[in-house]
Parts: sequence; C-alpha cells; structure tokens
Amino acid sequence: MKRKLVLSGSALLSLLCVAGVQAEEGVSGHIEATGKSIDVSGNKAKFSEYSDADSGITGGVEMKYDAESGFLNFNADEIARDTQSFKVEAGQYEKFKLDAYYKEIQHNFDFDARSFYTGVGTNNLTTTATSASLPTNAAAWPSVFDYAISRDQYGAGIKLNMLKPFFADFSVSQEDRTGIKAAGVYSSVSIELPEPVDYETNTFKAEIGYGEDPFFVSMSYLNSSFDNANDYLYFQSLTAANTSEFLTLPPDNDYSKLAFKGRVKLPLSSSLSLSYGKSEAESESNLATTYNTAGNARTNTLSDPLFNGKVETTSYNIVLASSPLNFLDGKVFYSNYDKENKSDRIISTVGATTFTNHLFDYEKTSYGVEAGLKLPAAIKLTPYYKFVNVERHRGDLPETDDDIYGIDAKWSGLEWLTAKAGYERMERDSRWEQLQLVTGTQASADAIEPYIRRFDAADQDRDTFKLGLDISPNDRLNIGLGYKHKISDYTETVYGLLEEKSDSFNISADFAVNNAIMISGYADYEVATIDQTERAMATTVNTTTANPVDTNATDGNYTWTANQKNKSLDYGLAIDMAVVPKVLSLRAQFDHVRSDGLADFTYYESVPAGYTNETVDSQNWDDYRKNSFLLKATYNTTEKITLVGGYAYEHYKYNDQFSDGYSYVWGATTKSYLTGAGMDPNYNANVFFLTAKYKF
Amino acid sequence: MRNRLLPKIVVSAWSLAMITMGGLGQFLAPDVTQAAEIAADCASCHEQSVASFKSSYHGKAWKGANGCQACHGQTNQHLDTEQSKKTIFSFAKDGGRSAKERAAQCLSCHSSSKHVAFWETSKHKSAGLSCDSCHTGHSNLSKNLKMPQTELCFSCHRDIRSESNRQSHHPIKEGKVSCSDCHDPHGGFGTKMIKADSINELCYNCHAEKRGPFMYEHPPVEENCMTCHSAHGSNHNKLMAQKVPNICQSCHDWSRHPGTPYTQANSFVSSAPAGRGGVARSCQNCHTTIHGSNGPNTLGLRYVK
Repeated sequence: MKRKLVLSGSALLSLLCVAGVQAEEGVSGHIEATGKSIDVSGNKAKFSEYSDADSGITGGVEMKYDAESGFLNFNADEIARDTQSFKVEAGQYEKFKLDAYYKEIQHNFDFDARSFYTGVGTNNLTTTATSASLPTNAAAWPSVFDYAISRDQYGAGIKLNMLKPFFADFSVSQEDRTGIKAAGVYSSVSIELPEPVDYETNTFKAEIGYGEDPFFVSMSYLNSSFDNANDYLYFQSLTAANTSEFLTLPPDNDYSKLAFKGRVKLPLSSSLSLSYGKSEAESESNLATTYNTAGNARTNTLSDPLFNGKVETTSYNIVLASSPLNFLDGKVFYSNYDKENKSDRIISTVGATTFTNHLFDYEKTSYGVEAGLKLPAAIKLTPYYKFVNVERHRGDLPETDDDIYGIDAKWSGLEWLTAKAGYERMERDSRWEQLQLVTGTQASADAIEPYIRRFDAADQDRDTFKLGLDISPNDRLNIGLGYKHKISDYTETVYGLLEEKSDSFNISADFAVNNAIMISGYADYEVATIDQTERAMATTVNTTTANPVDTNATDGNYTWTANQKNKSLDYGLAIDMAVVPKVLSLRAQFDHVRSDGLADFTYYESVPAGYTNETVDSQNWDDYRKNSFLLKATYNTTEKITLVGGYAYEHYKYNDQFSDGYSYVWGATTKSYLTGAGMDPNYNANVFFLTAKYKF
Repeated sequence: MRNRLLPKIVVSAWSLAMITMGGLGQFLAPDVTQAAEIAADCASCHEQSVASFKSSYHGKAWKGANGCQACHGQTNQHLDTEQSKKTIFSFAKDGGRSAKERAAQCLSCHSSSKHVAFWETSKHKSAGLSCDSCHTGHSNLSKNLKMPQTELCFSCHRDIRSESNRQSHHPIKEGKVSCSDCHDPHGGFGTKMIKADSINELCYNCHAEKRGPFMYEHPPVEENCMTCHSAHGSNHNKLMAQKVPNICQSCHDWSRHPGTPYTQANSFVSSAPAGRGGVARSCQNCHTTIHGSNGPNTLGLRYVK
C-alpha cells in the first residue's frame, strides 16, 4: 500500500510539474467507480484465474493533459482490486517521454487446498505424522491454503528523442512474485507439497542509437537479476523417523545481454539489416553433501560442493531485403544462434552410483531466401526456402537438418475480396546416435534406444496447407474465413510420436444492420490427433523385452498405442444496439468454449483385469465446456455522466481422467498424498455490476 | 540481500527527472505558430475525419504545423476539378494506392524510428500489409491503432484467438499480456517476429526462475520451451502442447512407470487403480523439477528433488 501511495504521490508531483507549463487546451479524461457483486458456486479460483473474485467497489481514472509544451497522461484501473494498475506518462511529443507504472497480476490456481503439514507458505513443512498415523480424511488435516501467485510489477522509464537523429531509452523495473504453487516429491511415497513462491526480479534496460536515413544503428544493454528467497523447501518424511528432506528450488541468477542492431538503405530499394547479441546467465548454488531420502541418510560426495552455472549465447543475423523492380521484392537472410554451456561439471557419488552432470548446449544456423512476385490480375506469389541446422550436445539426436520450402499466394483482384492460400513442407533429417547413459545400465539403453526417436528432434515430414478469405461486400459487412491443415509424420520412429495432425476452421463476421444495430460473431473448430506407440517392460529392459516383435505374449512386456483426439470448438455472438442514439445502448454477448478429448488406448497384451481394449480408453481427456453470457446497458445521463450496468453469468464444467473422482489420499497399498491442486474446477458464477463514470 | 531500496530510488529519480524535464520543456517547446490550421476546405466535406485528426496523436504532436496535406498530398486537383480519391493520396481500399506506396507514405517520416527501422524484414510486409492495415493517422488509441491491440491482431490471426480462448491460456484476453509483449509486428530478427533471439530468451523475461543455469538440465527444455508448451493457449493444463503423461512418455520409454500406459484403469475411479502417474498431476506427482534441478545425485538427475 505504501508503494501505491508513493506512486500516486509521484503522479501528482508530475502533474504539478507539467501544470507549471502554461496550459492552453486543458485536461480531459474520466473518473469512474464500479461496484461488483460476485456470487460463485464451485471453484472460485478457476473462475477468477486472472482476476479478483471478491465482490467490492473499485475505481478507475483516465486523465489526459495536453499543453503547448507538454503532455501528461494518468491511468488507473481496478483500483484496490488484486488486478489494479497505475500508469503515468509525461513529456513532449517527439522530444521526450517519462513513464512510471505499477501493475498487479493475479494468478489463482486453487483455493482451500489442504495439507497435513504445518508451515504452509514457508520453506519448512513439518509434521509428526507417519504414513500409518496420517488421517486419511483430509478434512482433519491442519492446513488450509490457496494456490495462487501475485505479481506486483513496477518500474519507470525515460525516452529521449530531443537530440534527433540520436535517441536514448532507459528503464528499470522490479517484479515481486509471491504465493504458493503445487510441487510433488517422492519419498517412499508420493507427496504433493505447497511450494512457497517468493521471487524478486530486477531489470535494467538501456538503448542508445542513431536513426536518420539511410542509417539506423542502436546499442542496447539489459540486466536482469532474479532472487529466490528460498533455496530449498524442507519437509519431513512420513517415515517413522520423520527425517527432514528437501526439494531444491530455482536458484538466484543474473542475466545480462549486450546487443547491436543496424540497418542501412541501399540503392534499388534495398536495405541491409544486421544484428549481433551476446548474453550471459550465471547462477551459484551450494550443493547438498548430505541428505535424507525416504527416511534414509545419504552422503553425497562431490568433486566441488559449489555449482557455478554459466551459459553464454551469441547470435547474429543478416538480412538483405530488396525491391529492385515494381513486381519483385525479395529477402535473403542468414542467422546463427550459439548457446554455450560453461557451467561446472561436478562428479557426484552416492554409494556405488558415480556420475558427472551432462551440460547441454546447441548451435542453430539458418539461412534462406524469399521472393515476392506481383503477377497480372492482382496475384502475388511468394515462394520461399529456408534451411535450418541444429547441432546439439545431446546423446541421441545430436544434429538435425531442416529443409523448409513453401509458397504463399494472395489474390486481391476485387476491392471487396482477398483470397490467400499457402503451402509449406518441412523435411527434417536427423542424425541418430546410441545414447550413452551418465548412470544406469547401458545395455538397457542399447536395447530400447534404437527404437526411440524423441519428437522434438526426430526425422519428420511436415505438410501445412492454409486458405483464407476476407470478404467485405459493403461497408456494413465483413467476413473472414480460414482453414488450416497440418500433418507431421515422424518417419523413423518406432516408439514415440508417430503422427500429429490437425484441421482447423475459423470464421469471424460483423454486420451493421443499420446505424443502430451491430451484430458480430466468430467460430473456431479444430480436430487434432496424436498417434503414439510405446513399449511397456515389466522389469528389465533388454533386447528381448524392448523388441517390438514380441514372441512372448504373457511376460508383461508389451507394446501399446495411444491415439489421442481433441475436438475444440469456440464461438460467440454479440449484438450492440443503440436504443436511443448517444443516450442508451445495450450489448448482449454469448460465448461458448469446449473441448472433447479421447485417448484410445490399445494394449497388444496384458490388458488390465476387468477391462478390454474398448473400455480402457480415456473418454474424459481434458473435456471442458464454458458458457459465458453478458448483458450490459450504457446510459449517458448527461454529456458528462455515464452509467453502465449489467449482469454476467458463466458456467464451467471440466472432466478429466486424471481428476474425476479426486481423492486426497490415494492408492491401494502404497498411498499417495495430494493437496487438492487441480481438483474439481467446475463453477457457476453470477456477476452484477454498476459503473458510474464522470467525464471531464 | 534484496534490493528493497530500488522502488524508492526509481520513484524518486523519476520525480526528479520530471521536475527537470518539466522545466526543460519550456525551452524545448516546439517553435510552432499554429500557422497551419487544418484546412477548412477539407472539413467542409470530411468533418468527422478532420475532427478525429485534431484529437489524434498526430494532431496533438504537430500542433497545427501540418495539415491534411502532410499525409494526403496536394489537394488542389481534388478540390478544384474532381473529388476522386485517386486525385489525392488516399489510404482507402479504393484509393488506388498499393500497400508499398501507403507504407512508404508513413515511412517518409517514420523510417528512422527504432520501431519501424526493420520493417523491410517483417513477415507482415511480405504478406502485403502496410502501416494502415493496423494504424490510422486519425486515431487517439494507443499507438494510433485502429482498435484495441488484441482485437486487432485476432482479426487476422483467428487461429491464435481460438487458442487463447482455451481453458489454459496466458492472460491475453484478460488484458494482462498483449501480443506486442512478445512479438514485434514491425519486424526484427527473431523467428515468428518474437522480440528475442530465441524462444527461451523471450520466455525467461517473465519466467526468470526457469533460467537456471541448473546442474541437471532437461535438454529439450533448454532448447525450446515450445517443445512442450503452447504459448497462446491449450486444452491441457499449464499450456501443455500435449497431455501429460503421454508427452513425457513419448520421449521416456523404459521399464516400470515410464513405459506404463496410464488409462482409465489407473484413474481415481478405477476399481483397481495402480500407478501414481495415472492421477492428478501425473508424472509431476514425483518429478517436479523438470525445468532443471540442483538436487542430489540421481534425485536431481531425474528431476525428483
């Protein structure tokens, strides 16, 4: 609150400063107060995921002050709510601008979660319970809390253009992020934990440059410092000894980047653009040399107990763009991004297990060409080609080459119609190598890895088709239509993703029936499928158990497939009506969003007892449906006073295999303990609101 | 030790700068004599356009120094002989000017601005758009936009609108994140016109806790956040591009739980449930540090602690 007062005071001070300069046009803007009555049955957190779910009164201010030698703008929204924001800007057009802001972003996950631990919200969770003594009725657990995170952001900046063609921008900002999120650990049993979030990020940016044709150059610097108040989340195990264990939390880090950008205009309507950037991210963590797990003490012998993380990136880009002829414009580009990991390599030994951490880095190089050709009959064709090579320090797929080529076509032969079509093909060629484990049984990896191709870098053929139509037969009607088909075929994969496919349709339209009535609407529909094949192996991974050609139908080693299908639909319709022009207007709006998912599983043997390959499917696969309705009336009582009142209703229903029938304590023999994260997000909400706005 | 002094320093410095610049402003006031009042001739036919121009950012910035002719060219022929749009520089659809010509008209003043210095590299430019596709010189909305930014972008990027409507999404439609927070519509060097040299660099701007560097890294995470996440929205929780556990299993096939299918038979409602991967947050019931870990030995290596 104190900070908010300081900001408000600063805004007033700014106002006085500029007010000192003679005003000729004065102040304009509005001030408003809003009362909201919110009634939610069900999951209030999901309803208010990014908002404030409580009833109450809020306010807003917009003030614009323009004078001969300066301007000042002040905005405040949702004052006193969890989502309030304040912003003030002042300066002179084309000379300089100062700004300062304060903004809150709320992210609610789940309210009234439960834990048998005390100390929720801190980094030390304690209990005297054991798996045997812990009440299975979560209502008896001592802690009730909310999974929610608040981001408080504030900052200020200055932009200077008074010395044109030179310019300079400077800004500082800080974000405080606090709250609780869900984490999970395994300690002989699986336990969901409330993880404290207490982060602070400070950022400083500076950019100076010169811009006057034909040149533009700029240098920029960014420094971002992340500070986590908690290095570890300590919790007591549920073993008889109640030993203290820990979960590591994100380490503090410092990041800085220096970048250069430049452009020079060349003859023949050409330009050459360049960029170069170099960044460095560093962290430092004290590693645990002793720890407990599942109630047992362990000694972790380390070659160095202090881990210094350091990642450097270097990037550069060159783009030559040219329009030498009226019917031709083209682009040639080359770019390189190199991420180099200079973190410590540390040998860790626990018992007989000794290994060194693997450091990942990669280099991505791409180049390509694009040519836009204007043809007769208002046709434009843009064929393009792009090559991308990635070399990564990774054991299974250390290098990929992508050939991407396509063509975009646009026809705008009629003033009221534009048609677009596009096709793109990507052919990814991956170099596969046998993965070498840093620890574990190499023979097992040798047996299964030849069949696995991880989808992010696997050989792939991808085809994408797009169609679009924009129709405006007259000033009253606009229609947009789109269709996209995309299919990815993972050509070398035996276990993993085999195919991804999606078809999506979109339409939006608005129609002014007359000067008083406007109707607008949209609809989107998508069907997406993902096919995967995997291998289940009962105990040991070897050349027999991993082999897709299965000769033993009863040993518990089997192949299974999952064909996921998600159908998404959203549509909306709104009607705006000027009942009494410039005095009374109404808006009615309805929106619907839904998804219907299915995971069709097939076991090639060992179907679970009591199920068949037909009944084992997951019918509820992130299924949800949301209906939202809004009715709003705007009444301009006078030229200066406006009243806005209305009612909104929202219904949300969600079903998913992983949360239907949710239970805090779960498991037949070995129990798992949950806290309610993601449990039952269904809700019905009714909102009444009334706003009074005064314009000045 | 946290820098709790920063907000006070920032606010104080800002206020001090305001005082200084407020005074300085007196000396830097534009030397404009209001000579070029908006042509009354234009207003006689285009009353609304002239009025909107006066209240627009252009109108305020120029303070009467430039009139309609600054953008629409000489009006003599338009006024004297024929009133066709083609006798002036019109930005209307039927004005007879190509996208390239319309963009050039704006860039004749703005090409040295850092915001549009790299327009030639822009995918929007390649797609045949021009400045007036999104902006109007008569607007008093932020950035001279024709309509609020999200609405404007979604009017063409309808598939993104659909994604952002899904149950798990960045707060785009709630107005807490805007398209231009991540993308530069005027062009640059990043893929998909993002404001960074890589996807991860962009994401870490807001999710700095994911930056590490960690002792035990998850390679696909370090290469590209979008391997697992869908930035605009998803049907699956946490903006996942595919559903957990299947997305995890498509890479991690091994004995016991990594290779076990988690079906209806493993759910809460099953008569004989088994396997922690089949309920609640699935793999993350145990593997919580999947973005990287400094945990001990194999517990860190496997993102358990």
